[in-house]
Amino acid sequence: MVRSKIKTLGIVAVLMVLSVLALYFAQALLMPKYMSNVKEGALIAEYYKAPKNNDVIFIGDCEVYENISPVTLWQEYGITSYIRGSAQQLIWQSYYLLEETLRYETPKAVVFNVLSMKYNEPQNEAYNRMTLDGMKWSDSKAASIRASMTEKESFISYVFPLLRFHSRWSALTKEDFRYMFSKDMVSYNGYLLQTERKGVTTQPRKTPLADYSFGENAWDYLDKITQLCKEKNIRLVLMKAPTIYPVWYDEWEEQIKDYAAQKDLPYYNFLESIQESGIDLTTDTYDAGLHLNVWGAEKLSRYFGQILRTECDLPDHRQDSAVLSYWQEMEERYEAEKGTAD
Amino acid sequence: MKKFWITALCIAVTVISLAGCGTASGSSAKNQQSGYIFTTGDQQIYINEDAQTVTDALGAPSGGTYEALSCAFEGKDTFYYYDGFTLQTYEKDGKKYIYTITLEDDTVNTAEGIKIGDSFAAVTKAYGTDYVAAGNTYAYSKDKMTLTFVMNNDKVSTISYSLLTSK
Repeated sequence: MVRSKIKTLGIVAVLMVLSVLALYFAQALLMPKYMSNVKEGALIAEYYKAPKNNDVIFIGDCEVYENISPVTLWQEYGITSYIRGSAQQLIWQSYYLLEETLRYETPKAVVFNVLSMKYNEPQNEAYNRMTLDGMKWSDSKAASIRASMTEKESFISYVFPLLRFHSRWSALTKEDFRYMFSKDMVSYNGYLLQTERKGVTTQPRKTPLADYSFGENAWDYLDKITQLCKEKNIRLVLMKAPTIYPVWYDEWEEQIKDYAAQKDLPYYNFLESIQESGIDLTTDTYDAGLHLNVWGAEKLSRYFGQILRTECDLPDHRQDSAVLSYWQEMEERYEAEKGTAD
Repeated sequence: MKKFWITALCIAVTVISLAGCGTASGSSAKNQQSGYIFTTGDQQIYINEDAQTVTDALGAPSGGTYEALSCAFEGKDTFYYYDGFTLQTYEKDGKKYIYTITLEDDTVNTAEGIKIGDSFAAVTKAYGTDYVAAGNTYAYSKDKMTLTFVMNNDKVSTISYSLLTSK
C-alpha cells in the first residue's frame, strides 16, 4: 500500500518536473529573439554580460542607443560608458532601468535624453516588451511593468511570457531554435551601429499641438531620476539628440531649460550645435534625420565626450589595465562591422 | 411571352446592376469613406482611406514629403506637406492609409466651413455640442475618427482629423 502510494507520488513528481521543463523549453523557443530583425529588442538584456565599471550611463530611447558611440568615447577620451537604451523607452522605464543599474554600479554621470518627456502614459505593448522582457527580475522590473502596461496587457504575461507568445509557434524560424539559450551580441555597450546613409531632403513640419505642457507623470519621473542621482552623488546631465524627427518643439525646449536651471542640471540640446559638432544631416543619418548613422554618432560622441569629460571630471582609462582588454576587444568588433561598410 | 422575356431581362439587368453596386460600394469602400470629410478643391479626403488615390489626385505636395520610419518595427509614417494642410499616412501590408489630416492655416476649411481663426460659437453652430472637451481641445467623434478643434482665446488655432483606432 505504502509502496504503491510512493510510486504514485513519484510518477506525479516526475510528470510535474517534465511539465515544468516542457513549459520552460516552450517559452525559450517561443520568445522573440531579436537577433537578425528588430535588434533593439536585445539591447536591455546585453547589459548583464558587460563589466559594471562605467563612468557614464546613458538612459533613454533610440536617441541614445543610435546616436552615441561608447567606443568613440573610449577611443577619444578613455571614457567608459554604457547605454541602457531601448526603443521608445518611456521615462518611467528609464527611471526603473537606472534604479536597477545603480544596484550593479555607481557611475560618475548619468545622461538622460529628454525626448520621452512627450509621453505621459503607457503607449505600446510591442515597445514595452523590448524594454521589460530583457530586464532581470527585480523590484525595479516589477514596478516598471506596472507603470508601463497598456489596458490590454497583464502583469502575469510578463511573469510567464509564454502566455503572450504562445501563438508564435506558427511563425518560428531557424533563429528561434538557434538562439533559444544564448544570443549573439548585437550592440557595442548598448550602441546599435548603423552604416547606411539616407540624408535629410525635407524638414518635417512642426504640426501644432493642442497642449505643449509635459504631463504630470513625466515630470514626476524626471524628478525621481534627479533625486536618485542626487542621493547617489551622480552628476545628471540632460541631452536632446540632434535628430529632426520626432520634432522637438520650442515650447518643450523652454520647459526643459527651466527645469535644468531650477535643478542646477547641465542640459545640452545638440540640435542647436549640429554645425559645431560637424554633423552633416545629408550624410550622417541613415533614415532621413530620425537617427544618426555611425559616422554621425561618432561626430556627436567626439563633441559630447569633450563636454562630459570637463563637466563631470571624468578620468581617462586608456592606460587602465583593468578595462583595457575589454575595450580593445570591443573596438576590434566595432571596427570590423563598420569596416565592412566603408 | 414577349412580355415575360422583357420582364425577365429587366429583372436580370436590375439584379446584376444592384450586384455591381454592391461590389462598388461594398463594406470595404463604405468603411473607408466614413467620418468627417476634409475637402480641398474637388477632392474629398476621408480618414483611413487608401492614400495612394488621394495623393495621386492631389499631385506632388508643394512642401515635399517626409518619411518617418518606425524606431524598431517595419512600416513608416509619411507626411505630405500640401499648401494649408498636412496629410499623414500609416502603412499596413504594404499599403498607405490616411492617418491624420492637419489644417495648417485659414486658406483651407472643413467641409462644414470651419477654418483656423473662427470662433467657438461657429464651431458649435456647425458641429453641435456633442463634443468631448479636454482643456482647450474639443473633439467630435464619428465612426472611427475624430475631428479635433483646439481653441486659443476663443479662436480655432488647430484643426485635425485623425483615426481613432490604434494603427
